[in-house]
Amino acid sequence: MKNSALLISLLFLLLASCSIDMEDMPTLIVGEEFTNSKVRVIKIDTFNVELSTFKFDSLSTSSTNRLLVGQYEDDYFGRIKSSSFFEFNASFFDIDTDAVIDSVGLILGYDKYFYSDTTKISTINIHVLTDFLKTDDEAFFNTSKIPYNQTPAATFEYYPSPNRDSLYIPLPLNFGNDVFQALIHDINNNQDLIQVFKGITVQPGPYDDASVIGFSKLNDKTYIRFYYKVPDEYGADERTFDLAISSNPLSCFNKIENSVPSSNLAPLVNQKINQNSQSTNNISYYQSGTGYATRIRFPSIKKLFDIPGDGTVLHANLQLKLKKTSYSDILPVIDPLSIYVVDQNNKVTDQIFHSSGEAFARLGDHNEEYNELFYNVPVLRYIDRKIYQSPIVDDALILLAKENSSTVNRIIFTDPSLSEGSTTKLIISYAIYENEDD
Amino acid sequence: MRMKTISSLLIIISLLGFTNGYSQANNLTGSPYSLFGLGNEGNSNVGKNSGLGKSGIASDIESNINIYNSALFATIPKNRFLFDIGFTGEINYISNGKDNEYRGAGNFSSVSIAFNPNGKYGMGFTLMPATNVGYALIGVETEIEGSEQSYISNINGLGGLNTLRFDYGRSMSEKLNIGVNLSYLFGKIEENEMIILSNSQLKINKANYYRGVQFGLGLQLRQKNYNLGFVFDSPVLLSAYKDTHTTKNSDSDVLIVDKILNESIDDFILPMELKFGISTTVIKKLALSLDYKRRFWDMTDQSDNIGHYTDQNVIGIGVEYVNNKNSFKYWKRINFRAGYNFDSGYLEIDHRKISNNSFSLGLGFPLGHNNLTHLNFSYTYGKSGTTKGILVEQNFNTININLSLSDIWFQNRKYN
Repeated sequence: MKNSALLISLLFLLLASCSIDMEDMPTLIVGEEFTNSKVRVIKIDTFNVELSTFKFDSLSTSSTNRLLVGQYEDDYFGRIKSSSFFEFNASFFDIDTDAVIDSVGLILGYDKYFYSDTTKISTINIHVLTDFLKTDDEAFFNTSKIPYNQTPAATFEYYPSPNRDSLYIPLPLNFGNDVFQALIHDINNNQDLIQVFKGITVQPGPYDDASVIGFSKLNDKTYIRFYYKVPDEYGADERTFDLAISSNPLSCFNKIENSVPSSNLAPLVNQKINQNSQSTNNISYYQSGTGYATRIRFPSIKKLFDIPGDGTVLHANLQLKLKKTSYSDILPVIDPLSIYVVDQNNKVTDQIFHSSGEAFARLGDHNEEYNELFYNVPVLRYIDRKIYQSPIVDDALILLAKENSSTVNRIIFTDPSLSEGSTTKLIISYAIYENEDD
Repeated sequence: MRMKTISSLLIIISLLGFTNGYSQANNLTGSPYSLFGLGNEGNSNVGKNSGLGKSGIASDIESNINIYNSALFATIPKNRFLFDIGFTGEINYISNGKDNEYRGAGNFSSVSIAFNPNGKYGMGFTLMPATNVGYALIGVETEIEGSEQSYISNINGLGGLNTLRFDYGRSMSEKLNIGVNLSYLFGKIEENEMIILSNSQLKINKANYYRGVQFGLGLQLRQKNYNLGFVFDSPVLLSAYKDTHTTKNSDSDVLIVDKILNESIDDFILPMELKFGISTTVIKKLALSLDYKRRFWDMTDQSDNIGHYTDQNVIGIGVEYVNNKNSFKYWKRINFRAGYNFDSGYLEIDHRKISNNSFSLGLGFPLGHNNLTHLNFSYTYGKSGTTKGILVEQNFNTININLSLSDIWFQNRKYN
């Protein structure tokens, strides 16, 4: 009996240690009038959204793996021209002294990027650089200038096929043989190579109106290949020798320029100048590569403080409408876009991050009925910062593509006063969780 | 001596387990009415009183601890050591007239020790829930101003007050026992509110912390055929502070909105309480008890956002039957108990008091070689509220299990 008491005690303890708790949330609405919740939620979409356009003085275009080459006429930005500059290196230099060159060519490997009309014929002019690919800065920019021989070493016309593997451009044998002989006799390392052969630039034809094409910089995609023979006792042994672009970020860059832009954009001669959308036909501009960006402000956002009680913005979505006809299958917009803050001089100060990582503006579902396309920009973080900012800083949001310096896609935004269908607007859900009189 | 060692070990183990249980949310109720005040008065109990309609203000302590009256600690038999641990489980059936549902909660609920070292006085320590909060208001839909959309709000509350109580009872004469008790009340009551929009959420988490001290006086008058009990419990000023954490979640971005710690909030007053009880064994084999208590809420002048607090009256009646506690037949040693309890409630909503009627049945199984240890079961069925107006009716089923260990300690060894 003594032991049975002990046994039961232990069983009891075991039972007691397993607490019962039905975790499932009950579903019955029991006396909702019981709630002493004072929360109110308000939706507001009447805050001003101000758009303007500015142009970055320059964009860093080295440290990319894309060689961007081509030219087309843009309805908004004028003539868009991208050319690529790069130097070469090799992994070995011991070529037999009795080697004889057969042919030489430049292989450009497509990286699938294109913009504008690839069904139009494009020209590629290859020029030899007359100076080293060098810079005083830490990078090359879309505006950097490196002198090159104005007479092309080779000219090639083609219809771009960005989904194919690569493009083969034959180079003249005399150009190839000069470099090849130096490789056999004088060049023992990459320093020697640069002294003899400073690099090339790949330029579009000056009158092209076709497309801009992306090629890969990687050494298994793009290289100059020498085909040569080494005589031996059975005849000749056929071999190849490759010059590729080094992985050093300063071994290549893209020069991206636009000339003759529309009169709306002509005043943007430096980065500090803003063109308000109201003076540019109620649209604002973005183009990667050339450096145009849309500056977004919410000038009346502090009016949120006029709402009595303690509150917080629960959700803030900037619905940013694209101009119809400004995009198409061959003129696609970039999705998603990263969100940055710029100061009053349009210098980027920081990027918007969420707790889960980088914040993005994303294209909403295409409205088939009205053929409308919107970006949804999560601006809660920025608005939270803005309403508590003291002193008030004239900063703004901008949206940039991840590949902002290695693409030339455009986006034309419409401002709120363009009222066909639904428009650009800021939609805020605001929760008041404590009344003022408490 | 061996039993004593084992008992001590058990006490230590269960105290450890108990503190552990207390550090968690001790969810012991699923009643929507626990939204008000500091929650529902606990259904957890020590000893056997839950099977007796919560009566027993005048009943002696033999082998089951009775904390209803501190004077009763003087009635602990000489050299006796008592130990009690309790488990409470509750299933609620809630209805608002249209819809209904079951809600359940349960946990390890109380631990108590008591002893009488020399027959002159007895004392005890008890740790148990004083009030329980466990409610959920789910899916309340409200319109978003300025739109045709709506948002959902979910509110749930949990926690409660605990009491750590010390009782001391002294025998003044054969006919009079007096006692004092001191209780430290402490606890945390949380309210979590969640506002859910299609693309964002607001979460407000409020934790209120309370603490206060209560003292009480007890009296037991012993007559030939009956006992009388009187108890006075002082009002308690519970000092309180609040921690609030507000966060929001917008398109999977989580942000802290506000964090206020140690914010001072209004004190809460638990009212003065007067209790009177009578118990008798005038009928053979039957022990009867009848209690009445009144809590003076009016004097505290407190109200909730939905109701006013008014004086509360509680009546408890209990009967216990034992055929022969020394019989060789086991069933004759089993205690059979039944009780009824009426609680007028203290909350008045829409001019209706949320009263509570309950019936209980209990069994006490003697264990061990000396029949001093009991395993007590009780089942209580009760009903509170009404489906009229905005109120809900709540049917609750409570199971109490108490293990009441008892042993003889403090005896000097006579055969050294």
